[in-house]
Amino acid sequence: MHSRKLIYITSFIAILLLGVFLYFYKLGDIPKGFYIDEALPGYNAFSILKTGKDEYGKFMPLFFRFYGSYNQPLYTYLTVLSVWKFGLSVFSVRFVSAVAGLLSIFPFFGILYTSGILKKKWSLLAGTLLFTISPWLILYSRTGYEISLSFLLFTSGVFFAWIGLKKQKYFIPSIIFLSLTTYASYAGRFVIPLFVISFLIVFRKKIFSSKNKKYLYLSLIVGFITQIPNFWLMTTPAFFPKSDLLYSSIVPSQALKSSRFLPYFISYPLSFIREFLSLYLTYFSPRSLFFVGDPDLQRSIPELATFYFWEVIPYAIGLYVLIKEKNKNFIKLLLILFLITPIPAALTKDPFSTHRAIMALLPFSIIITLGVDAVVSKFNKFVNIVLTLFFISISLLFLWRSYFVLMPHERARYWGYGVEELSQIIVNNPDKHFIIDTSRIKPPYMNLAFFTKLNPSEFQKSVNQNIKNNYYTDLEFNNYYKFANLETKTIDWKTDLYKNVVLVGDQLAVSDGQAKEHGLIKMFEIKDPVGEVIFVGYEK
Amino acid sequence: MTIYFFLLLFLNLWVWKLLSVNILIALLAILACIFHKNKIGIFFILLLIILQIRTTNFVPFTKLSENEKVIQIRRMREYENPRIAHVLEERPEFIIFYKLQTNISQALDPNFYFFANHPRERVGVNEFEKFSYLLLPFFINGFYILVKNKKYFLILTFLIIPLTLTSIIGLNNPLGPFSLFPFIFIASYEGFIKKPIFALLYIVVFLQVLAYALA
Repeated sequence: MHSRKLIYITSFIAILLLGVFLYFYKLGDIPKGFYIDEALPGYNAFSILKTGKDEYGKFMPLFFRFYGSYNQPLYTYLTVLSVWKFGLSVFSVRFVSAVAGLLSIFPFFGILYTSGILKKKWSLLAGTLLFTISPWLILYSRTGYEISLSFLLFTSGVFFAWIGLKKQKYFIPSIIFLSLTTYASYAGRFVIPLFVISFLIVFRKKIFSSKNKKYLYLSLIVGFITQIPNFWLMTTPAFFPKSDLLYSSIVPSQALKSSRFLPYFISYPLSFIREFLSLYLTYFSPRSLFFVGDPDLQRSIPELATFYFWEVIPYAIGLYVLIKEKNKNFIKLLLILFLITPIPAALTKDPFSTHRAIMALLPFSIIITLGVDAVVSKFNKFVNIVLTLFFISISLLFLWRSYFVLMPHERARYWGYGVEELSQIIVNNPDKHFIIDTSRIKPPYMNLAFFTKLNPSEFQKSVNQNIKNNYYTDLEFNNYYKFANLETKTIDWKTDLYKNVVLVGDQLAVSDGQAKEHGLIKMFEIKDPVGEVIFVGYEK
Repeated sequence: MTIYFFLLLFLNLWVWKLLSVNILIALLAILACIFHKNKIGIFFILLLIILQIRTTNFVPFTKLSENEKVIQIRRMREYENPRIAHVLEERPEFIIFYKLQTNISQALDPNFYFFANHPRERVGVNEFEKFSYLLLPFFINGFYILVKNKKYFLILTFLIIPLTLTSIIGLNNPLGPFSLFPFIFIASYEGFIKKPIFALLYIVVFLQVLAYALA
């Protein structure tokens, strides 16, 4: 018995060590490049550290304006600590994410351990191991923005909510974690209320019949108080700046089609339902989960989906268990998570958006574990060990191939690769003025400020000074920036050609004809790891 | 067989697509649905499977398109160890494995059957409506009932075998993987709540889907 316990503890530690390796190995180098959504919290953390103000000069903002996205603040403020410790680098920006990913193994394990539904203890370890090596978790644990942090907080909140059903005092840490989730990610704002309401409804008998309700009332008060900043933000336009992501333009055109046979007051809601259901279903589809993944090339790993291909089998079995055992309390909790976590993401027009639906990683991982448990309980220990070793080995092989070999090469350009090298060229040529064409690229200003290590005070002076006074009401984002010896804008051929100017853009920014016509000489060319040109610089 | 049986069988766009293009395939699909509880149903499904093989444009797995060859050459350079690169990118076993994955993923996608592959429509492919999305929850319910009632032989002959076949030969067929039509219908009918209100809802949604198809 004692030796068995030792084996389980050793196995759990081994899983953690594997997690440490997977989430921290070459963290600053892979993914290659540095995405704008990483540069924003990174540089703003640097700015807060040095000046107490964000990029716009706003003192300790409640929510970060960034490029009009008004991101949740928690990740940025935590990154202040890692930037303070490790300096301004890609590693320090991604560090908080990696730690969050690693720590999320604990509440996940805790949920499985206290579920009371697994037949074999082996499944507990196998499920935790599969969770640790899941591509979905690895991708976002190595990404320098808030996704894995929100997942950690959400999973912790769910864990405490679950054990709170037996001892209501745990509702307090649950509500704290769930409330913090709303300050960690945009999707959290929508998932958490849905989860809390569903949880209270489904378990109302257990929660409200308890004689001692003081912890319940206390947790509701704590929840209310911790949500005051969100309540305040709801009174400003900054609360919902991403409304253009909804499919409000698609539904009317679809409704017009079906109004051929149906009255508009029926065809409109039906069109909405069809659009929503089609997107909602992608989050449950085996194709999305196990084979294809996120269609956005920055949010996916080449040739790898969110889970490994073979996990489709335990997923199918786990779904059967889910329906069969639906009356058990843990399964009710699982059903709540399974059905609600993809809802906010499904309301946006992007199919299978893995960063918006990150909280769905929890129920899907548990369902896969249920499927594994159903299989494992049919075989003896030797067969289970062989099967585990086989499937984990092939999973790690394909993970290595896709994430550590293919991704650094094939996805570098989608991660903003090249800006670091460009920044170096800019720093090495202080007497030249660089104009970076932004017609076809994501705003590079933050990456440039980051890699040139521009003094935040200097950057704050370069932006529109009115913004900090209308911080939560002025939503408009202007992509024009001028600081140090650079500008970001669309090239104006009439006014931008003068001595010591360097025009920088992608291959389409300056044609051979234009270069010849204006007497421009190619100064440099920056290519991605597969040899495709990202930036070309021409000087007069 | 009730009125709901024929409502679901004939009020879906897939059966009319089959009828308009190949009456034999349509007839076999309909007969397989009608006789799925009899042994003769297996005969019809086997014929459907044979016709599926005959009418699908099967490209051998190891035959790479020009684009695939370019990607393969590029990927060979991405590895530090050329031997590992050769195994994972050039060995026929792995190429077949990757292609099989692609086929299986398409065959297992519920959006393909209930939403005309929306929102992941394939470029250059004319996606068409198959079953109404209203049937999806009934399909899931029916599938669960079939498993619970241990209808394993039905699942094997009407689902597993056609699905395996589709995964091998691919979905490059203008009529779609019609050998799966009977199972999707059977499971949907099994799970359908046979009440007039649901029949009415089904008709309304069918009209919506029909409008999309005709647009």
